[in-house]
Amino acid sequence: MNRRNFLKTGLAGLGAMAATSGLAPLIKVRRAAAATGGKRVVIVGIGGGLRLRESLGMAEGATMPNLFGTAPLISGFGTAAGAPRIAPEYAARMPALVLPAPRATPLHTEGTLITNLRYADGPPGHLQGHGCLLSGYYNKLENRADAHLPVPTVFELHRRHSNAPATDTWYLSVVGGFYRALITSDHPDYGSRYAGIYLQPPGVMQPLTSIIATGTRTLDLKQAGDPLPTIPLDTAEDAAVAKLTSLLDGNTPAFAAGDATVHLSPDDNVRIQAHLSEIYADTTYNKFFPQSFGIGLRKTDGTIDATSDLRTIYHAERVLTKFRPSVMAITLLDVDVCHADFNGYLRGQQLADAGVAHLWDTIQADPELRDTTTMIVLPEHGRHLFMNGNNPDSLNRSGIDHGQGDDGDRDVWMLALGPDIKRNNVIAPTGVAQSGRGSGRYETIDAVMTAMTVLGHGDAMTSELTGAGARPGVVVQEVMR
Amino acid sequence: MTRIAMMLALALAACATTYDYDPTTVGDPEGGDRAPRSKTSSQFVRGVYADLMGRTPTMFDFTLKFNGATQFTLPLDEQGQLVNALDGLGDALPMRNLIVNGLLHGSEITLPAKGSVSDPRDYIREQFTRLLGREPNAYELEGFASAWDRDAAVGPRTIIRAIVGSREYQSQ
Repeated sequence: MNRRNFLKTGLAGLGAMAATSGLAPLIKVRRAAAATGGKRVVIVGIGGGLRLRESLGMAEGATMPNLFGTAPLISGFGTAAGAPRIAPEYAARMPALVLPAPRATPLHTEGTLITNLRYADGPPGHLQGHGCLLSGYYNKLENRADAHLPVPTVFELHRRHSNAPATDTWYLSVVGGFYRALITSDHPDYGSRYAGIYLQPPGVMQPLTSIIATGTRTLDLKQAGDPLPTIPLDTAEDAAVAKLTSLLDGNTPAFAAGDATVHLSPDDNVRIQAHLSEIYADTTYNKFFPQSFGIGLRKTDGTIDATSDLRTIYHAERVLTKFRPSVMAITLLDVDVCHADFNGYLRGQQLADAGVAHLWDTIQADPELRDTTTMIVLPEHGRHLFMNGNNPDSLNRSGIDHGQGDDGDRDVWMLALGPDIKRNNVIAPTGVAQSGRGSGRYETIDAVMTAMTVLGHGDAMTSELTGAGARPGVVVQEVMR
Repeated sequence: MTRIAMMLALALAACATTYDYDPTTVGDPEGGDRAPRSKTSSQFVRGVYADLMGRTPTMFDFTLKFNGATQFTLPLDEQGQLVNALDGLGDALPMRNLIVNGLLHGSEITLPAKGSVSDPRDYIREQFTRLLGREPNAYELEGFASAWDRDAAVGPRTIIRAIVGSREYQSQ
């Protein structure tokens, strides 16, 4: 075992001990299922910056076979794609990918794929693109920790109009920093009291936190299965602590309305803490990222390393099955290595593809989630039509940036899946009419509007966007059954 | 009713002179009426290290061994790692509580056994003073002390965790 393995996997696979859930007696679950007709929406942003040419065009091989198969889905790229073209010198020095065998039938056949979606406005930047996916609003959000959208996010809309607790709306992001601010807007009728739960698994779900918190300086393992340092879980003590803290808080003024931090309700926080405690009490560290996930990078000892995208998808699955939220948004970002690593970009697509398919399979394996969940997958934006010369490989390819707003940046796609979505439907609609819509095509904001309409919040979203002077998305009728 | 109205009118008429008084208080032991603002993750980590361990967060070398043979040693930044974990949650309170629980179970902090605490009220007062800079009011003291008496799960660690998890401790 080396340092990298330890850091990345937290000794996953050593021994086993089941942790019990904590704080159950304190948990009061308030669900919003009735308000949404029991429907759920998962929006997956395959960031950061994925072009049509490589994804649907398969110009460098079939990099996303689980979602799209191996036959290019846009014209100009032939009728069949081979394996992803990874430069040999790159493949020789990088860890191999661990990928399950691709699905016999690609996921797009189970739903509707729009191959000509347009990210029509706003800078093709990750924060702005994902901000759009969380609000249906083209924005020029500044890259600052305190920069919020002026219109309500999908989390706020749902919570306010469904009287839902925060645990009914989750935002899982590979990225920390400014992305934390995307869970709430500056809209005076919404704001932090309706915020979603922000969770950045690559930051939170790390065994090093246990090692530091417990003051472990040296760990001397004798055999496989030795327990690893954990933060113990004691349900009775946790419950007693919560009661005494509540006594103290009842005697203290609430946080200031303009406080920079989102403050969830005690009930929400108790449930989140119980979830975290269960993970941190696992003496195998398997709950940070289990080998059974089966997707990742192959380590020298044969075990599997998580990437940020995959760690995020794994914990999204855990949240989905435990909290069963009505709204979940996921921000992936690993393909953004493309700025200086074209081969990493292709491999990132392969991993994201397998991860998203794993997520969909998890949803399908749970009867309640299967019957109620709509999943919409799309890139937040694309990348330039031209390469930047960074880190060229032996196949004459180099990095690609994004942000200038050419067609490579703005032409994307959208895959919709779920019980309300038409199956086996690959389309490229034109002639979509709306004042201010220059493209005549469906746009990114329409994907978000469609998702919120499934939840019954389409009118509210339209009203808020219109009130802010923005062009609201339209429902993509072609995807709906 | 008429009598009350007449008395009120007489009282008002008698008050020909008005006085302005500065507002007074009888103290605000629970932190006053100022709306609290939450500590940043860095402030929280540094504060809790100072309060619970009497030191600032630092860098240390972590060593992993198998059967006594060193596999690797790497430097760990306590504050950097913990702040990173805390900032990965929109409301970091659950993670703050979890980290504090870890610290209190860790190698640097020794807490007395519940049975060895001769006067729980004194112990509770000491923790309030140490962590919040004030004595508990009568309501708080009674609430904590009665929980200590009747709940086997309430002991020194529980008291500290409850105080550190409070809004008062979590605010600047």
